[in-house]
Amino acid sequence: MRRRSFGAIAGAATVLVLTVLAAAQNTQQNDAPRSPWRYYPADRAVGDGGPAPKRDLTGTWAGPASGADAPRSRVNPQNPPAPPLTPLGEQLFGRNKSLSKYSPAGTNDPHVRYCDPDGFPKNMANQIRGMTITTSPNRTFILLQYMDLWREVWTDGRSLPTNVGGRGRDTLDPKYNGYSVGHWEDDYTFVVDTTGLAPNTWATNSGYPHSVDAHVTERFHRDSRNDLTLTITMDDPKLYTQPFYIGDVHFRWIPNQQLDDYTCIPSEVQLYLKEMGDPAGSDPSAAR
Amino acid sequence: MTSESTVRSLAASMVVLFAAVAFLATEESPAAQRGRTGGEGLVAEGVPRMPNPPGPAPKRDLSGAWVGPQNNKPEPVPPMTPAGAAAFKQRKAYGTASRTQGLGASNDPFITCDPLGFPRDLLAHAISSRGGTLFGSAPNRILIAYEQQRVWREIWMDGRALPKAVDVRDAPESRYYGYSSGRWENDNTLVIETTGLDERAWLDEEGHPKSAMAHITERYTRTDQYNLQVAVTVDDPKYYTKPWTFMRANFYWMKAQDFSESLCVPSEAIEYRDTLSRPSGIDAR
Repeated sequence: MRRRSFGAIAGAATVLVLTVLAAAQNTQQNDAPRSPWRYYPADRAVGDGGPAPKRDLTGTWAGPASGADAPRSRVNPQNPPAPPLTPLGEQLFGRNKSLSKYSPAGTNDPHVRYCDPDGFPKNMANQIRGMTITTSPNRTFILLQYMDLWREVWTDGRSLPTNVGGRGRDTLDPKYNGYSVGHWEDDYTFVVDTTGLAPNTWATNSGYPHSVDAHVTERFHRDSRNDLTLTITMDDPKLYTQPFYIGDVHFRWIPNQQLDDYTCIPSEVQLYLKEMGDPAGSDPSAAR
Repeated sequence: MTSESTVRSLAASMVVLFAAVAFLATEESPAAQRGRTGGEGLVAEGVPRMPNPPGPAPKRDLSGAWVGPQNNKPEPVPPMTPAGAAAFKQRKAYGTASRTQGLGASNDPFITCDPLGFPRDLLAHAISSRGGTLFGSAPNRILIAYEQQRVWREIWMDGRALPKAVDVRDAPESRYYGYSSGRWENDNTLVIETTGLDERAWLDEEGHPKSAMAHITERYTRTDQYNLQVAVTVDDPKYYTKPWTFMRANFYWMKAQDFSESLCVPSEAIEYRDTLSRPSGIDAR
């Protein structure tokens, strides 16, 4: 039976269900013929695979929601503890009603209610089942399994823009994925700096906000051939009194390099909310 | 202009422009082509013609960002089978609905920003009015990333056969962008075969259907340093009486190698459908 993809609406429950399903499939899949086109959570990389290759993250990686038993986060980036917020930060945070606290009917998370783009950095934690990384001479691309979305990270030495979202002819528009530049800090650590984020998106599933000028730093550290750790930190003095350690995400190398599709389909989410998620008689536009 | 307003205006203009651009995507008049290039020296909006005459195409290399499709000249859609005609009859295309009952009468999945799917995404450049495609690589694969919706596909280059079935036991699930295998036919031509498509996505803006096991062949020929020609054929005997050329167009090298962020935002598209686009007194759903 084909899996329907309701995306984030099922939230954390989906992760748990997938983990259980993956465990069940481990037994079922042992004797089943393998298709090169399918992702088998049970077919996992063994051990660390030896030393990490230098300055190389290319390939396809299983994330924590993949069922591939990637190590758990030390700090869950979907719901991290935040430093004290500024008054403006408190005000914005107070408006955001997360799925975990308010259920599908009460949340105003635009991704949960509509499949709107999660935006960065939320999209590096929400439903992070897997990703593929590749490079070109002047860019690194991060291609996420969830939502079939790609990000680009310029590695040609350019500086981050300082004129995003302001007024005037030469200002740049904020982007859902921001503007990103990257460099190798050492042979195993690729650092990505991002700013210029669309302010209508959330920084975390729990509803912490970010401003356009937030500066987010990702550190992709290849611990071994089979292990990759991402840590995310956000510096956003308009909204937070201190830098915000958003959390860590661990990835494992996928032996057959194949991921299944998984996406949030707006029309299906609307149908789900109408038939199941929202109380009868409610106005779905109220959550906009 | 702020990003938010850009997104809002994009979402709104997307639906307005969609019908018009959809037709441009299939056959453009010379005047329309001139209009879209944005002036002398530009091959598309914001994309300059390269300053030097093109050199020879590098061998077996399409990597980089390309603008297009331009000058698309597809063949007419062939007669449909009874099953194809029945499926097509259920579709209420965007352009027709907008002209008659209003946008909300259409059941085009893209009205709510549902995935365009393959190969419809090849035609789509409704938001940016120029389109863009980027070729990259990963182990055993060529990756193709699109400006529209920032979606991507992977093309396996290890010689594997396409799945013979989808959505049955032990087979992969159908998906919006299908399953693709590729090979170099010669040093300048990459051939990609795709099947296993999600039937919910339309084949084109007119609402033509496609079956899950439609077989789609893309043939990319890099004729020189700056030009990439593509021909796409659709073979879908469940719904059509013969194969046809779905797309025959050109891509041009992008000097800046940079795309805008062209995203359809569902909440805004739905709000537009349910409010602004709906003539009073008509139930959009």
